[in-house]
Amino acid sequence: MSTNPLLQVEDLSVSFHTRMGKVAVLDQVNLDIGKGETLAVVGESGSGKSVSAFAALGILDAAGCVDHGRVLFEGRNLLTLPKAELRSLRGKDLAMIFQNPRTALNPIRTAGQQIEDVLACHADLPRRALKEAAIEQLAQVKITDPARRYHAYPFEMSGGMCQRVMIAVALACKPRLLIADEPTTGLDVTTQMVIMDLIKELAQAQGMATWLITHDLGLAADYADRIAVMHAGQVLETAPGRVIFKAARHPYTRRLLGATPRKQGSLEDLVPIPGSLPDLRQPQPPCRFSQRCDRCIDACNTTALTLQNIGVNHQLACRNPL
Amino acid sequence: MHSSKLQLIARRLIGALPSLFAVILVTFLIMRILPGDPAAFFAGAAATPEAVEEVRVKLGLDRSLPAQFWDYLTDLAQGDLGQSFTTGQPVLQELVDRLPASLELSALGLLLAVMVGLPLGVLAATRPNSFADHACRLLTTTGVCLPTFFTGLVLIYVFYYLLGWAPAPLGRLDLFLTAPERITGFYLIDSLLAGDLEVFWASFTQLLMPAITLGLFALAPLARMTRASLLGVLGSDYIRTATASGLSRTTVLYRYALRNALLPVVNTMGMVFSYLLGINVLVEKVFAWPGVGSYALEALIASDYAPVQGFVLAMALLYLLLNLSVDLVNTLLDPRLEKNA
Repeated sequence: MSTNPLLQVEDLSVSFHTRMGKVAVLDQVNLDIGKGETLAVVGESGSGKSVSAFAALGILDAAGCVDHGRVLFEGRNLLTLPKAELRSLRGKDLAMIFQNPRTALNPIRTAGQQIEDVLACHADLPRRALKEAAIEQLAQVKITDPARRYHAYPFEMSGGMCQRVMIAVALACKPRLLIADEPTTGLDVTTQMVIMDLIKELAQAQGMATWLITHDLGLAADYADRIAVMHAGQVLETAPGRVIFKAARHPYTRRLLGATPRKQGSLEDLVPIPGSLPDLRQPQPPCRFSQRCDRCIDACNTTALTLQNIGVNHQLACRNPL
Repeated sequence: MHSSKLQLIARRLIGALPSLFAVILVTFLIMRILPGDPAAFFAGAAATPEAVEEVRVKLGLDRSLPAQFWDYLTDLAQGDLGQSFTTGQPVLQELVDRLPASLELSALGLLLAVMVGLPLGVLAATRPNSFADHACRLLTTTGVCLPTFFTGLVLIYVFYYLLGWAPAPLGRLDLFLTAPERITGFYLIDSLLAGDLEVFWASFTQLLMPAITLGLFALAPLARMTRASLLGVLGSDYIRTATASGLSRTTVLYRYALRNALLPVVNTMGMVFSYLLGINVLVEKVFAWPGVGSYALEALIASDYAPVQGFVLAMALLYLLLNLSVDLVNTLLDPRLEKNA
């Protein structure tokens, strides 16, 4: 639990209405992010990392529906905020960047125009100042020759460059929380590091908190203060990166670590996690990992599961921890 | 930026020359393959074989096909589309006289379709499964199913015969009014230029029913394409980005979604307009519209070669210009095309 929370996600449950019935995607998700803190949410694809963020920002697909829970941003519940008020927070105080920067930017608007659109929406700037501010924003994300790139379209830029523009768009209004949804997926490895370093540097400079969504534990360890491990819509363990790597208590976290390549090990050392994500269209046991877990006991499938504090900054949801 | 557009135009015009030649050749051949003998037609039913032969020589139809084609080409090169056997008038003159009537009708039909189809498509896409969506589906299905001559006849029956709201479907203007002085050939524009509001209104009411007939047909593909394209765009990543950036719903919908969604709609518009030029032939017949369509139809029945060939050539040229303007509009909308052009 961070002592000075900026954003708190409390017992968030989200379901999607599909042709095959209702799918309970998120089950009582609890997350909190302190001011200026970087929280990494890790988990397999489909574990509900992005959906939590979309739900918090109120940008879920029409099929998605928040069944339960609160998302408090500085004490205000985003989920019950009037639409207009939430919209004025989005992009201004809470910003988001996405994976695949190429498709996340409007293909037929220039980099400059897209930054200006956000500035015009939230900042009280005269028209002439917009262009200057946009160029300054491009310079801040270290785009060379920003005055020229101002006129560039996404298709004229590399993937890394597009992600820089995306960051410039997101940070245009100096938000207090940046949600970075797999910001380096689809970029090559060297660009990944550059982009992550840029996000970290800008976050530190502006005192901005970061909610980093990734499936890469290594990346999370390098850049996050704390790591939250998600599986099938449940948060299973939250702890500082160091603790996750040295003293993880949840069997899934251990499994995840075992499946993550390390600098010193060889590929043969990797142990795959058996099974796959459960079919969320079916009713689930309290612990959604129990089917894949070798430490499953009777209590796992009978009593409700909650995230418990088990140490400083260390929370766990497991009946039979390591 | 500007030179790339000029280059595009030049390249397209040059690239179109082979197709234009093919159009000229194929129409020429088809006209001669079709049953029907203009010489017999003009000599009359009671003519002796000698008289028919005499007419044939007079019309130059006794010469070999390549010789006739060469004559036709040399005439074309001098801007001479030949003469109509039936009216005795130069084809070029008659096409120029009648083309504005057809274009005015098609353009108004397309305009009506765009004015109704685009908002309808947007409504249907932004509110899937709503009343607007179902109305859109019904209207577009009806528009596609009903043949235009049939809708035309139904409109005449209901609005002229039963209700008496519409003027008689007899051409571009009431018989008691005189056409405005010809400047563009478009009555709506010419009457306004002449300041004659009475003629403007009269020609507008004459135009309305055939234009609605065409519009109903053109509506379907436009509304459907707008709906499908906008739905696709609304589900794309950059719309989510725009929403996540807190942009207002109108900004997201119009500046981000609609402009992107318009690209395929503009293509459809070009396609629909060219269909309308073809469909005009029937609609002009139903409404006694003095356009190029009815002119070509009458000439075809009489095996009158020159007007049909002239008509097809004019349509091919129009089609060429239309596609070119569609491409130009698209380069304006989509910067990616400009760089490739």
